[in-house]
Amino acid sequence: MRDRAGCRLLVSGYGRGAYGAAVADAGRAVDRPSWDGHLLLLHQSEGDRLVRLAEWVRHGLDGGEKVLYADGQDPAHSSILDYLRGQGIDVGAATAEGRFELLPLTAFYPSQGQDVVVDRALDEGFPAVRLSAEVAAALTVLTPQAYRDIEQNMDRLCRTRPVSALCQYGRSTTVGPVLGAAVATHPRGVRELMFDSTASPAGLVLHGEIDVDNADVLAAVLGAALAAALSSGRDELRLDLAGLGFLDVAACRAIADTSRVFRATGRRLLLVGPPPLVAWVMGLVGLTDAPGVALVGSAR
Amino acid sequence: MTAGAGGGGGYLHHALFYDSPQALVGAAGPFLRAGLAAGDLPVLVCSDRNNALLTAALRGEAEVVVLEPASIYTRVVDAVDRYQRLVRAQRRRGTHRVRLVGEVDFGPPPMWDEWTRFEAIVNLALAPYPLSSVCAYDTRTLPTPILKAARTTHPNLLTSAGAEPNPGYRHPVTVLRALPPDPPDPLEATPPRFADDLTAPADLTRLRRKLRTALTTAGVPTSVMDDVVVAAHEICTNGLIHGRPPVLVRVWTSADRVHCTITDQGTGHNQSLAGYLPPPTPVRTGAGLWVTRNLVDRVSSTHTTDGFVVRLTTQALNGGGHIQRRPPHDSDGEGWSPGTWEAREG
Repeated sequence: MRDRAGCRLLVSGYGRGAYGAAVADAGRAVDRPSWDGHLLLLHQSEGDRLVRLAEWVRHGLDGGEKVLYADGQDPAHSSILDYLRGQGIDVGAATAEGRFELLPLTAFYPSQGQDVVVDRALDEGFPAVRLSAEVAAALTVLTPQAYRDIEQNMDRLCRTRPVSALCQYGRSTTVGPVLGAAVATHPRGVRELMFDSTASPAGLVLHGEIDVDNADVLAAVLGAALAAALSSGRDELRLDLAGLGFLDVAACRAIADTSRVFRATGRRLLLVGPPPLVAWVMGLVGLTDAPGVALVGSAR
Repeated sequence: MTAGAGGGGGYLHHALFYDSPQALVGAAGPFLRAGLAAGDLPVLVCSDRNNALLTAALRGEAEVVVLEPASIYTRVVDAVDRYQRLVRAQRRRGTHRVRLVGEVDFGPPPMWDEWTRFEAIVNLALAPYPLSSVCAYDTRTLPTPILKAARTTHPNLLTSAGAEPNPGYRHPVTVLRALPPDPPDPLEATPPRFADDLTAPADLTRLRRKLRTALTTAGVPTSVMDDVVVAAHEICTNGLIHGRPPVLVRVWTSADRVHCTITDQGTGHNQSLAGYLPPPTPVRTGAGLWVTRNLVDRVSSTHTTDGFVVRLTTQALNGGGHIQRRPPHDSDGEGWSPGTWEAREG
């Protein structure tokens, strides 16, 4: 058992937690999107939700973290414990050893705020703690405004303490302004089914495939990143695209449209390291030649 | 025809009908020599024999650029692009106007209409370019349909008496609308190698993944496979967003080609120029078909009782038969742009 001071010392050298979470060295893209930090998970289906949730849980348990899960007790959902067990995660042992804990919603969202939940977990000696809940479940005990406040507080916790959070939003209900608001409270990263967006010091790192079906998510994360750049006085936003396997015309249009106002102020959008076919499509539709857009370091 | 950007006017497009080497030289020779006197650069894109004849007619007075038609006339959009780059490159070297005499390579009969489309489209695509071109048509050897079409696609005629307006010229939209869509490929009578029905944009990921697998299994070269997957994706997107689901995708492969039909249940469109010209920047609607025409050899669409059918066909030869994707950037550096043009169709 480590004391709290010891935990902090350990944490300051701990590269996987919130301190190092998904933040690339300047000029170098992360190789894989991580499961650390404050993340928005957009799920298309129950199967999709569970698969990625299990990866997130496994990652936390492998790292010796405490995993807290909000038990929404939705009768339509199969037991999370059964599912994790089926994925080869020894939730029995983890639960017995206090490494994995199912919390009722009222305990997961106490009236004093979630800081006490984090404190308790860290006091138990864990180097880090991670929490996850479904938004739909949270909204059965919280008003939308209260939930937004919790998200903002969670973002602060993830930035300042060894905390990660995976906030599960259903894709079909998270569209338009709801999507924009959700993305705004998760500046570190968004995990959609086919692509991931992760914050970097100078902008965003994109992995995966973006097409007409998820271009609205791209527009939301790009819009949030551009707004943040504007308000922090930066002249450029960097999009690291080396991890993009596919980018269609609709996605190019989303990039162009979302960044138009930003670029019209004289600021620049850098498209960095796209694979050859992606770079070619972007050139063909005029994105790379648009005012304020620069293609940097093309094909591998 | 039109005075375009770039100083000294825009594109002048002539047809020259000849029935002997003397007739060719008799008309093209003065054209080229007048160009030399004006400081224009001569460019020849004819058969080897005619390139030699015309070079001789210039009496060694000047630098002549000589190109092989086969290197230019691959795909319509690529041929247009090559001429645009040629003129821009010569401009950077200080040439004010390019004077070109060429013979379009019409290829095998299935491609004749497509190169007629090329002849029509250049009137729009090259309009702002300081280029005077003469398309030489051998009336002894070229089929009648090609000769007839040539009379509708050139605003000017060139003879030994000089250039004169061509009363037979028709607007490119009129010419394209008069051309029939491609007939079904014989492969369509056989079982497809790949089939998928899409009902929503969420199905596009599955389409790409499964089509990639099917084409890889069929031994299609990777670059061709990548191009076909992107092209099919964009056409399916059009069908889902602008047409009506379900969108039915069927793909066949043979030793030399990949052929797709993509059918949606909507009424389609009648924009015959669609995808032959780049959409105006910034990126707007209509770019999907432009990208597709740059990825595969042939795109043709038609309304049928089954719905709106788009046919994609591209070579799939192993060992370099595939047309290389052209570089997306011509490092122009200068502010002079090809200009925009508005081709409105009713």
